[in-house]
Amino acid sequence: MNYEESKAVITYTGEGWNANAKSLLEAVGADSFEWRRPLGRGPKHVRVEAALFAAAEAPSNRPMIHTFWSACTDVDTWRSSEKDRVERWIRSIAAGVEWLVVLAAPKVADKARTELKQSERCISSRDPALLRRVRQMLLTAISNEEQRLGQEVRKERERRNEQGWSFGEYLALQEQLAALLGTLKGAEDEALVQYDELDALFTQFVRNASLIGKVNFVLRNGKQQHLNFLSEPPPWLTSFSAPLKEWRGLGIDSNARFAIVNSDASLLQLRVYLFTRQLNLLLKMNQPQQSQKRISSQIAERCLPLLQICSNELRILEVDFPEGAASCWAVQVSLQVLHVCRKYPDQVHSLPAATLCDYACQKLFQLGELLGLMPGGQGPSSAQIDAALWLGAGLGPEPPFGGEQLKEALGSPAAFQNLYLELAELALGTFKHLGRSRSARQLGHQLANFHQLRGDPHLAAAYLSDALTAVEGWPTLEIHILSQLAECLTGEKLAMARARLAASLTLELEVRKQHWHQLLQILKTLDDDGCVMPLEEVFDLVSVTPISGHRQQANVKINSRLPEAVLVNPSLSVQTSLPQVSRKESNPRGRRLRGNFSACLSSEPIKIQPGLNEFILNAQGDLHTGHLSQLSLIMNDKMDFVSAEARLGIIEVKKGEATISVESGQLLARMPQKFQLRFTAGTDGIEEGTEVTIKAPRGLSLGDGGRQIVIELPKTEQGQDTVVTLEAIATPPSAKSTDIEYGLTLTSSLWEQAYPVSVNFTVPVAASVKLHTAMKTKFLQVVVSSTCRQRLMLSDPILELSLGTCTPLPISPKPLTLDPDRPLSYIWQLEIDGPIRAKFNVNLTKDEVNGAYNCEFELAECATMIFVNSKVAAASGAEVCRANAMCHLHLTVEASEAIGHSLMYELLADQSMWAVCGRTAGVLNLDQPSHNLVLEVMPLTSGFLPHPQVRLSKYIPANAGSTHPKLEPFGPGQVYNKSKSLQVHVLPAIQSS
Amino acid sequence: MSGCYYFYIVCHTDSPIFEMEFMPSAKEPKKEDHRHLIEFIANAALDLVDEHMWRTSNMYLKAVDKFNQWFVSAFVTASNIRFLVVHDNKNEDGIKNFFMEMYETYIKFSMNPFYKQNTPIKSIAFEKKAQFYGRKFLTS
Repeated sequence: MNYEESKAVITYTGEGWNANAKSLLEAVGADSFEWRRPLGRGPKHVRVEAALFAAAEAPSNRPMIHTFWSACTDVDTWRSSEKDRVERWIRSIAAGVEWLVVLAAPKVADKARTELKQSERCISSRDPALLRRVRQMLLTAISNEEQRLGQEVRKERERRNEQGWSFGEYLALQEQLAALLGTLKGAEDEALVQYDELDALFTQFVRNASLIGKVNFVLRNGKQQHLNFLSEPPPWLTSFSAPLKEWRGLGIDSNARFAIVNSDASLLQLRVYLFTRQLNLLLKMNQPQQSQKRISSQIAERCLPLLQICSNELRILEVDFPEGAASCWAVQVSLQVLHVCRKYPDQVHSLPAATLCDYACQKLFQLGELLGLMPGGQGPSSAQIDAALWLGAGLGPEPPFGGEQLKEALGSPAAFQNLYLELAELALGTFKHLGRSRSARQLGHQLANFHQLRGDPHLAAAYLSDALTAVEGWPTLEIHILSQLAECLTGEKLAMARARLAASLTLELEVRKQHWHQLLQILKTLDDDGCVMPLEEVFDLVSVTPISGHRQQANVKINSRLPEAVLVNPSLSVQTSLPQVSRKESNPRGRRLRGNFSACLSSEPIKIQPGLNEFILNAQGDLHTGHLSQLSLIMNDKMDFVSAEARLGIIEVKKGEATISVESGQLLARMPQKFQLRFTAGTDGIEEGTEVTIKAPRGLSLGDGGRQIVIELPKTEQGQDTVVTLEAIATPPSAKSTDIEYGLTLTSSLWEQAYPVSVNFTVPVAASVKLHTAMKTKFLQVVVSSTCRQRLMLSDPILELSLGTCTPLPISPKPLTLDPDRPLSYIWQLEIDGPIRAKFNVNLTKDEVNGAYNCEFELAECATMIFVNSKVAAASGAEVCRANAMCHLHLTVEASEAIGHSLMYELLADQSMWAVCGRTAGVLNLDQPSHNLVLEVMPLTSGFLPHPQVRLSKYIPANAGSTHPKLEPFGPGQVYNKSKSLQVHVLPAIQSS
Repeated sequence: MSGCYYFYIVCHTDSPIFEMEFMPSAKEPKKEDHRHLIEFIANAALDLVDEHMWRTSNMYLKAVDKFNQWFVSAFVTASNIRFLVVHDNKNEDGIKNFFMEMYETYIKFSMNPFYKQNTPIKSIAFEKKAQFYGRKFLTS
């Protein structure tokens, strides 16, 4: 339907119509006007164009206004004749149609307004409001028509599931509405909506048709619902299932519309028709004041879904068509749309255009394969040429929107390839430009196939390598592309690709073996430089464990993913210094660089089996401490698998010297003792016969009694131990200390300086003395106790006095056992005057090792000088002592010889037992040998009470030297208390009755 | 093959750092070519994920792509790690919950100072969690 045929109509009649009036009305469409619409739709600014017709020639069925142009200029004529004519004309107009009377003179117009009582419809031709009035009326007319059509369309649509309803008729109706809206400049989008609705309605019908056969929907509540209207497709829809005879591209074909309305069109005809209408409207909307971007990108955006929906619908409706026809059609439409897009340069490179391009490429690729147009083949066969001709003919005579290229391409492989490349590169460039890198790489992948066929493996390899980066980490995609890439590569790159494929766990073992054998073949052809490849692509470096020490070694564990065993030369570089920041030579062979292997660990060639392998690498030559850096496995002298440079571990050279440790239990002094020196060899080991001189400090004798010995060590490997046993006797200088540390000094060629070692000795026993007195006789008790917590045997105690003699009390001649918690005592009777200086010696035996202990004692003068005797007796008159009764303490002090000074006595009574009633202390002048004193004491309790003690001290009276008298105690044994530990029997007190 | 879910975590360099599939328990294990297709779909959807994530402030992007019966649902974390699920039946809420739980799990995992960003996730605990949430929200 032509928009020109749908334009609103202005009819004219009357004598006043002339060229002026015509030009006046033609300006109706020059300006936009606000169109207020019912049903709550927003106002729009539209321009209305109208066709002018003489009243008799006006077509019916279009929105219309009638105008009457009067030539009458004076009021008299108006009254006499013109008024009647106008009234007659008005009566001839059907109800509901707008009309306007245009009068030549303003005064006549005034008259007419009052007389016809139609002030709005009578206007002077000179009135500036004329045009506005005309527009308003036109719009009203169009609005009325739109509402009428809209109602009809809605009514028809409601009936769509009824018998006898036809999509074609409905389409014709809705198109009328669309055409009407299309006449309003600025309301094309409204017209577009009509076509979109048609489009959607049709799509829905086909969708529903696709569900036929699956109509038993199980509802949520478990009930089955049978949808009747889906039981069979409407008859009009089946007409679209007719086999395709043509697959023309876009373009309005009046036959097609006729066919559609009569339900006789093919699916593609309908789709193309609808899309062409939409396209035209979009292009119409593409006015400068509108947003270009929005609309032109919509063109491409709408196209792709159309193509996809169509190919789906062809399948759903089971339409028959020659192979390739659908692709052919899709390419044709794409080319046409792209051609249209080219008018908007910024839009050629929009995403929808690129996606469309991409789609067209795929279809074209399929076509090319079908028709033998792809490069590399022998060209199309005669059957293929026939098919191409057939497909070309189906495209129709002359496509209106460009797209001649397709016909051309179907005819010649060269043109076809050019077209394909042109499209692919356009899409690729746009994808890249828009940052759709993955889409670009996918397309590149396709393009690579094309170039590969074309015999340009370099270009194909470039595209594939790019595509490979996009799928890194996606195992199957990676392998898929890599397998393809391998076909395009040569030399070392091919070798690397084959190695990766052989190591790919996603492939079948057989396939991997094939790749592996191909790799071995390729390696033979490689030049001597070979190739360097990242180790991780083929092997997993599980661990590198340095074994530090004299010989540098490293334990390497790797997991091989290769399908078969491989013999490699391993080496592991050692980086001894920080990497120098220097300009590296550009690496022509790949990303991975082989580092500096001048210092490395290596081994004989080893066989690496598939799976986990473990081997040890040894240092070659002298190495310094450094980092293990890179592992290299060289296969067949050509292929070098190198791991990334990393710090895999530190390998150390221990320039360590031999070390010594002392091993011994508790060592006892004064007895020959054995202890071990453990020599741990350093990195250089210990040579056979190495001499070590050991010097002992004073107090420690080694071996045979000297303070220095020389020993010879046997040969000892690095890290091994040699144990030397030494015998030593420690003779500590004083008996007081129990633990003594002795420092040994070892000198040898093993060490640059003397090596100090310390040994601890413990004195095994300790002795103390006690003096005992019996009247004038003296005894000396020596108490020996163990300090080493070990059991010892003691024998032959000897006490030597510097003055006087001593006689031991008889004891068993056998050795006595000294237990740690049970001291032993020896007693001698002394016959001595004056101070005692004694030496004690006893032999010690422990585990059949003999030693001796000796010590010296000194005691001050100890001869008995004074005897004290005390006796408690009842007071006179009583026979026994009773508690709380006064008693007498008879104290006798005798001096064995004259003492040159006075004595002080003090009574020290336990206050809980005794109360001293009289004097408690006094001074005795010993000018006579004996003194008798009686002191009064009272026992406080009954029982056997110990005697109150008497303490005697030397009394030095005050003289010129000191103002106070002084007391000095006696030495041990000088005072002998005869009544020491005597007790008094005290009877209980007599109860006073 | 209805009710299958293929879960991928895709790092900044577009490599998958974690993948797992969830099948209804009765299903046969998938075939290799199937896997190729799924990987292809997931990889191709990345462009669309990148485009969608600027259009919404939500992390969950719902279904971003469709290929035959396969849908691709995506989730983008704050650090631009992309979670993808390729699935063949609609389960918007389940997938959303699954993504949220996996996000939580991923955050915890990535806070481990010994985990280097953009490297494959090799953790039994993580796998168990993924399996658990897969059973809970996807295949149950």
